[in-house]
Amino acid sequence: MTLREGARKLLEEKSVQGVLGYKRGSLPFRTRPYLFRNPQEVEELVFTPFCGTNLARYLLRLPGDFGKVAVVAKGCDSRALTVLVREHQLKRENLYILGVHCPGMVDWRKLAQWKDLKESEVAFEEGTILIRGVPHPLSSFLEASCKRCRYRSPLEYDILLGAEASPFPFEDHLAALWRLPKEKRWEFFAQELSRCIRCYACRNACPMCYCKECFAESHKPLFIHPSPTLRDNFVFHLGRAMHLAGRCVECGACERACPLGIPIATLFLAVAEIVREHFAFEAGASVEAPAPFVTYREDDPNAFIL
Amino acid sequence: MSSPWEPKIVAFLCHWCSYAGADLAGVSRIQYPPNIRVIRVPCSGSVDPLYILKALREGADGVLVSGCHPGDCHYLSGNYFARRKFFVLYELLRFLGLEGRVHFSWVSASEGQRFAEVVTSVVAAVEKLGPSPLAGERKYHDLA
Amino acid sequence: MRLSYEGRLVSYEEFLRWLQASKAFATEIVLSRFNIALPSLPTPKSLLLPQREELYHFLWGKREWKVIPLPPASEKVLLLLAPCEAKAVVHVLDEVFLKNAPPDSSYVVRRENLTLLVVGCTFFEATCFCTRVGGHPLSWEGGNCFALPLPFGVYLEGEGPEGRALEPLEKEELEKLVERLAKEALKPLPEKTPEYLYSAFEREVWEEVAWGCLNCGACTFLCPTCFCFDLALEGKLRGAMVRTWDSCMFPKFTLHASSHNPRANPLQRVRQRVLHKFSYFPLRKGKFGCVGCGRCVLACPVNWDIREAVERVVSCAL
Repeated sequence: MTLREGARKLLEEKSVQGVLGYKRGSLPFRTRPYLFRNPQEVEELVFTPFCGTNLARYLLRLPGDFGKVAVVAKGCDSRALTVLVREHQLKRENLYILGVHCPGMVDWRKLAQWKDLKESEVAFEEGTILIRGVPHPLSSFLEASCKRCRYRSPLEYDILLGAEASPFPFEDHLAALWRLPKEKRWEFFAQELSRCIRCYACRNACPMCYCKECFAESHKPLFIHPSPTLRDNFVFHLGRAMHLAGRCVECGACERACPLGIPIATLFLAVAEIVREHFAFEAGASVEAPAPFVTYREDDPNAFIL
Repeated sequence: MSSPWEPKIVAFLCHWCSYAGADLAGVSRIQYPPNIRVIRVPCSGSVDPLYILKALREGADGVLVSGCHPGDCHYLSGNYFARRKFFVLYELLRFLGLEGRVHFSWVSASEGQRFAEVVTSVVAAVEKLGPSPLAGERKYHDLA
Repeated sequence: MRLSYEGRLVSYEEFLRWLQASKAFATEIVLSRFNIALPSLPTPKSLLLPQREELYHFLWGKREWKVIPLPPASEKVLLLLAPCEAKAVVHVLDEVFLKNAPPDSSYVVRRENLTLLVVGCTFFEATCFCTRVGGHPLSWEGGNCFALPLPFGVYLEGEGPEGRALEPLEKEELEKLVERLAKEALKPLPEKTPEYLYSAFEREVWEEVAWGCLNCGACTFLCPTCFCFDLALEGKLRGAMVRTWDSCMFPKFTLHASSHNPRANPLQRVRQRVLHKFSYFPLRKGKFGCVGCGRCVLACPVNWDIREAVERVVSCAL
């Protein structure tokens, strides 16, 4: 069964009120989230390597009495759903998870160097991307967060559709950063954080940022000034990173959303890595384990304390 | 005309241990550098990492958070929870290359001498790093 | 002001020498089309209405507040910008900050120091829609000079270095370009668009139109015409009054002190952005508040497209 058939069946049977998926956008390669409400629309449902928006974000915006909804979920989307169910933001019985194997998400910005490239001129084969017939290694076009993805196929689903996607090499850009001397690292982050214009696209695209009032926009207490200076951007992004500790599902939606192309997910991925390494916890993957900040062990790391 | 740079350090001290430890250092007339600005908090577990970030944003060159020794928390486990949060923040700051500005310590109410030693070592560490790259941005008019 | 064919042709080297003689910047749109080594600016707005501007410093001393006004920091700048962006400066920013009384004192200084070198476009990109909102890829209305990069040199009008007249063949080439652009150009929006949209305020179609929007400020911050700003104090006893960009997409944009928020839900904010550009502004000023540069379409994380939104609502209102 293909994704479209699955979605159409659900809508025809009226077992769900809608199918949350992707459809083609107005620009080549871009896709946009869409809530399919009737079976005729399903022809427009697509799943391509350009469907990076984390759909869990959109579930939070549905009215409370919406009823059951089906959602197309890659590995990271399914992790996000698990966390949101655990945090009582969604009800599992109101979800029908249409699991899909993720081929790895391609950064459409990296295709910009080919002028007037059409969607029909790009094809994907085993680990390569064919652009106007010329093969290129797929991994150099993938998003940084996808290259270090551990769960490309969903962990939680009601039905798993499509074939398993071809593997690509695991590449951890965080390790490369850790190897730099600390002055270089700060130079890098200070430059990137200074570029931020605080449009909050990263936060709004994040499936885990559902606070009614964000600390960044809070007036009382006032944490940061609305103007984007390095020190205010620093508090915004690090504050968000701390809020996401043990919650970030490493989908990279924040980085994809950034209109300036700041590699902002690096911070959140680093936090997820710290939590994984030292507290043996992965958000949305470990279903039983308690969230890292609501528990403790007496032998937690202590060497950093004076 | 301007005086030589002195590190400004914000210290979040837990009411039950470290604050009392600081008090003991004071009444025992133990000398330590006057660079810290103390903020008393009910428990190290109540210190949101945002407070630490906010202190850096407001121009602190360094931050010290101090609570009761593990097992001694007045609220039984506040400092254990705190330790997890602080560890993640500590590692994250290390990742950003801002190592050495944010410090954590356990100081009990009877450790006046130890409190003075902790402050001395934190001030020395921050002094070595120089002014915070986040504090340096601020250029308002001073009283002429 | 359209291309007159009466301009002059200079070589690329000479053009570059002229640019190097002055402090020149280019916008990202220009740099993406014209391979030239110049410092880049996101939009002309970042120069005319910086995202962070300290208006005055204040401090408490000797039992009274002291306010230290800050003269706007500005220097003479030559800005290379696309025709749509020039229109954004002349039709929208000038309209708001110069022609409203009293004019904005720091904007006046920065605007006076700015020379607009409009760089014409020789093709449309997938995001372009200037011709739909009354613009043209070769218009240089309000600019000080006009440059058009051509295969045989840079065609110039207005201020700038001397050059030679066009050869008949070159003129023909230029005419061909104009013809091609005219063929590729999108049709202008219906003349009554502002009225149609105004009348469609209550339509249900907005639910459908606003659905995908994440309500971030990427579109408004990268828009060359969005001019909304916020004044926010920094510091308590010593600090600054800072002017910074604000966005109608943010929930606190319209929050009243009484805690009432007239645009509390995302739909209302999306509608505000569309209507301000395509209805309220044109009804008051007689020109669209959108110049069709397409930056918002490109910047949007979820490909929410203002072109489709306007068309959808207009088609419902007809």
